[in-house]
Amino acid sequence: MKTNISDRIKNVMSAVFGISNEEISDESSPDTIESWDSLKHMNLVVSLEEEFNVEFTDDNIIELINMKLIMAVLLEKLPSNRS
Amino acid sequence: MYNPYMVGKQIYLRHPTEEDVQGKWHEWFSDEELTKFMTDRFWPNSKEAQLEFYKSLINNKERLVLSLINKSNNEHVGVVSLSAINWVHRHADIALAIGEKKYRKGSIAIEAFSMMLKVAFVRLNLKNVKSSYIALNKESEALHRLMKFTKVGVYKKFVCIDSNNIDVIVEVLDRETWLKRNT
Repeated sequence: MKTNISDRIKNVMSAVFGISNEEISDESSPDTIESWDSLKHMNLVVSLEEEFNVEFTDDNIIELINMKLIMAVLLEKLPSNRS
Repeated sequence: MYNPYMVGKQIYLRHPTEEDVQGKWHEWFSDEELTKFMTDRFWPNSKEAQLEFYKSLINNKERLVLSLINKSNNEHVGVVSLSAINWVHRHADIALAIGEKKYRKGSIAIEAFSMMLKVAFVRLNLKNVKSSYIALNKESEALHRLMKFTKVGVYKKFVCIDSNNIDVIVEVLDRETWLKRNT
């Protein structure tokens, strides 16, 4: 399940930032991806919402600053992962 | 923090001070890059004009201008505002400027815009927030998509940028849409 979500996140990040999936790791962030500026960050959030059919709160949007945090927030949002 | 009005993760909002006026606030609104996509900032700004503007804000209930302060170093990095506040119909116009260039590529703009929406809908209990931006401004367009604004109109070829006539986009966010996403 997590692998599938991770792959889908990487696909979205790859498309938004214009890099290959292999260049994306758990630690990928604005510090490691040069093209991750504020415009790309906004595009990333909207693309993740479309891919996973979820809606992020304003607080979430500020938190989504690396692959690991994106995964954590998405796992909380996705219905099959809610307790 | 001095006199915080709302505290976020990276920044806090507070009422502007005379120290802000003595700083670089006025220079931001002369800056060619920052003002390129502003519809009414084609004239150079001055410290004197900024001081007059600052004085006009004191006790003003139709316009709320807040300074954005970087929590980590107390630097004044920009301003965010609600203007034309209508207390009968409960709507206002939102605007944002990140003055300090080094902060323009980060997420401070997103946080500041988001915090001002919270001020509008929660602290001031407004019903609608209106915004407009020049169609070439891709950052503004993305910010409005992100915050779930609805495009309600277009002023066709309304402004002239680099000798080209460009549309101005008008968008609105209502309180219910904001609350649904943030509660």
